[in-house]
Amino acid sequence: MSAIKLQNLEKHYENRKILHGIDLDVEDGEFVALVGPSGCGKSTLLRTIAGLESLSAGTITLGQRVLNDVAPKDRDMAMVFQNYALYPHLTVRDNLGFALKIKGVDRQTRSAQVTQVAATLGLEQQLDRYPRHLSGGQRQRVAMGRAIVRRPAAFLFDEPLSNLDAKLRIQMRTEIKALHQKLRTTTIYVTHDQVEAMTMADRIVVLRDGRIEQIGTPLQLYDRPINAFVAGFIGSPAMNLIRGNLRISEDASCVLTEEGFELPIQNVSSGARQAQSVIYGVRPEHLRIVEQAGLEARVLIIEPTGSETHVAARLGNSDILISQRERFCQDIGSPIRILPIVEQAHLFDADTGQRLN
Amino acid sequence: MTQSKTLEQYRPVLAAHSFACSALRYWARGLTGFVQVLRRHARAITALLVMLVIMLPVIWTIHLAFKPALEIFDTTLGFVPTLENFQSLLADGSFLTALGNSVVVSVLSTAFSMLLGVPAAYVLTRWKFKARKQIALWILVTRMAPPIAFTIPFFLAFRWLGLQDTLAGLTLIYMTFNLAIVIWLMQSFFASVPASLEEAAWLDGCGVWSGFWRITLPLAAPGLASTAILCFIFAWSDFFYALVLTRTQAVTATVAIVNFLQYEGWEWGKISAAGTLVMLPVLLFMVIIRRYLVHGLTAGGIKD
Amino acid sequence: MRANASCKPVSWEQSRNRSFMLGLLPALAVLLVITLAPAVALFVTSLTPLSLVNPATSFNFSDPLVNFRQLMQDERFLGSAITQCKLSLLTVAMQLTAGTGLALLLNGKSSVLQYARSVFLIPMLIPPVVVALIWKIIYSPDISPMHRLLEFSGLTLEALTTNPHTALWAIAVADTWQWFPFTLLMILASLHMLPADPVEAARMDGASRLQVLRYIVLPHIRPVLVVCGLFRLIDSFKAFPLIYILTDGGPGNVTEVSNYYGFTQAFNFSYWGYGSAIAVLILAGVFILSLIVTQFPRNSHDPIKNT
Repeated sequence: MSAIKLQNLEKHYENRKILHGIDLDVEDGEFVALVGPSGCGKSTLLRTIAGLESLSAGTITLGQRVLNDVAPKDRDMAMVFQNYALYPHLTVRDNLGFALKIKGVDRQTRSAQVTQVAATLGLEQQLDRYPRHLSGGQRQRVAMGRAIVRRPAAFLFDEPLSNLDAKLRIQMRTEIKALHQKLRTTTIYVTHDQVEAMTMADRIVVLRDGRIEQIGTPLQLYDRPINAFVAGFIGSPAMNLIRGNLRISEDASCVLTEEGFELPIQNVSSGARQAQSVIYGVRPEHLRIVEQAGLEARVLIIEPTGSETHVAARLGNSDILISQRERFCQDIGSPIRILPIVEQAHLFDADTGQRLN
Repeated sequence: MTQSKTLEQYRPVLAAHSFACSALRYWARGLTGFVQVLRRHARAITALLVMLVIMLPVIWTIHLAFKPALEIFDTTLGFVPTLENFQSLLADGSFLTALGNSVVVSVLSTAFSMLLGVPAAYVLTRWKFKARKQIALWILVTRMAPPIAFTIPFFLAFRWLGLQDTLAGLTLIYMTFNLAIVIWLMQSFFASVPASLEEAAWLDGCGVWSGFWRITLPLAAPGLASTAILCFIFAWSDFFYALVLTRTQAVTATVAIVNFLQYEGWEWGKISAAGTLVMLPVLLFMVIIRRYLVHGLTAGGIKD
Repeated sequence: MRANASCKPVSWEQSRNRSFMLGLLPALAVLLVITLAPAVALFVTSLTPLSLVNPATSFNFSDPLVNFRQLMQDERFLGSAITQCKLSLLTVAMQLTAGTGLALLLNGKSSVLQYARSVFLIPMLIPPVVVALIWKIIYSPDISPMHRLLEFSGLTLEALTTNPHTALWAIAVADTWQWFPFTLLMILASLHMLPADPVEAARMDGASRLQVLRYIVLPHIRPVLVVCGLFRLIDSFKAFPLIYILTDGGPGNVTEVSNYYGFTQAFNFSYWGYGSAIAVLILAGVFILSLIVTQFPRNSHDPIKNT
């Protein structure tokens, strides 16, 4: 069993608290992504799980074992580093077989396992070359191969794709996901790119300043972010967040912006107060450009990506982004009318950021 | 027809004139071309000239070593090179013994310093503990301290311990600066090995020293070589400690040369030959590992 | 791993620290014995009037500062201190100038320059006593190429090392010859790291070569120059072989530096206590200068600054 459990994990470093009370249950075979802005502690958390950093309080459990004082080499976890950390003075073959050699596995078995892993990753041709002669993608594969060959209880990925160019990144994303589906090893994957997290993970953990903001499946985070931070972090392009005051009424609650626009909202929770300072959230793809009714805005920039068109517009004093499938034919500076899809609108408290609908 | 006659007269003059002009033009073009070449390579040419001037003392001494003793004071530059100075130098064997002593002491002190200093340097690079700053200062002061500060107590101690005039005693005191140098230099070499490689090794099943041996050390190998060679050079070149702490048995080459000055009168040929021999290992190493020497000599002094 | 209730398992971090300690301890132990112990012994000896003539005085602490008091009144010592300052400042200034000038000259890409850069290292690598011999030859009119050349062109020059006015200069020149490669190396490395962009921008703005040198290059190498100067200053206190072989402190006491004075007191006359006191003073000076050196940021991998 390789379920990982973090209980009330805390980490101090020189009088500064980096991780505050982290609680996380990763199920056996699950792919969990840790995302967050830089400095949120996701890499530190990963390294603490790996044993490269010590924890100040709390417990880490793998299956039945408590890992708190266990050395990294005995935790049965393999890590793929951001800069690959391939041993430059060893060939690919020796890199892959390194852990097995340390363990004392005999040459024949070692060779067989290395060849098998190399075949899985398409590295047969590179086995006798040195890391410095490989391309970025090949190096990444060797790093993964090194982790796979050990058949560990868990994989830990520390932003493995950030050093690759965009196209390669997308390709490797699919490969890693396919690998996970094949091997079904518990995986914790750290990234700052929420698109990566969305496409690869079974569940996502959003971190900020050493605290967990929300844990959920990608779609859960997308459809019902628990606060304004998660709402703005998940989803690309980012959700539009507009400030205003809440006006609760029987059938048609809305958010009143300072310019007087009325943004429709529904299902306001009971805790919300009249005239409360709130943030209205609506995703670009949930804004419709209409002929009549709606709110008046002025077109600022048009960004055609081919599959979609992003239109940046000015609504009163706020800049918003609209995203639609159809081509957009109007000029810059022309007026348009926008209508948000009420069912997809989000409401957050302006001070705490908590969700209000 | 006076005009044509005048013209006829001037024709050869005109011809000579145009010839002279074009010749001058070619010559001027060639000269500016030459000047341009000079200008473009001005740096290299100046460098070579300066190099010659600076190397003159060394070259002169070496040439004296090969000059027959009788012609030493001659002002003629031409001579037939001979090995007689070297032969007479090595004849009685005392200088040869001194050379041997130098080799033994240099090798031993280098070996011990590397053995002790390399792991210590690694620990100082990776382990962030409280007294780190103080230890670094201590090592720096050790490296910088004037030899006299150590010779007086060592001299007195050696008399009491019976280590006076022994190779063991000399090796011991050479460790004062060699150990400090090893720690100082290897720290910068180890620091350039990324810590993530060691972390990967730890995850792959290595302990601290196992990872050091398999990963860090092979990657710092050039640093090891250059540090060892530098230690050897420093030990080989030492004069003060050997002068004070040896009498007759453990005399090293550097002190033996000076004895020639005092006992052999002014046999410049022999002295030059001795100097050349003592210079030799250093020049050899320089040729072999120039690149690493540069890093070794400047490591710790330059902002990376 | 061992879920033993009675004893707390040793954490990975603790066992790692223990491993580290094991690797550091032998070196520290040896260093302790061969540096701190002698330093303490030196200090203790400096407090006694110990001399070979009077071994009974080895633990005579009746008047601990007697040596230091005597030193303060010892004209020869004070003179040696002044000579040391003169020599140190002279050689450091000359070395820095020569080293920097040559670095600027040799900073180029051609293979000739690369070859020259290696050759210029030689003076620093030759054993100091051999350097002293080489310059003994240069300064001995009988066989010196310098004197011969001058004779050739009609000028005569008397021996430099026996003339009290020129002896110190002669040593300074030899010392500069020996150590300028150190500055050369450091400045060259610094020049290699000079980013090309500001220089190109300045050229495009119309700056002349001299202006580029003055406003961009020199400020860039200044920190390295300072550190270099400090290093060479500290090292200059150790100057020995040159003086020993070229002048023996003379003529008179003109080239006797503190280090040399201490040497003669301790090893020629066996005034251990007095010699120790001199050594203690020199060591104190070196310590202070070393402290100053550590204040300068030099290296991102600097073992001192990286704590």
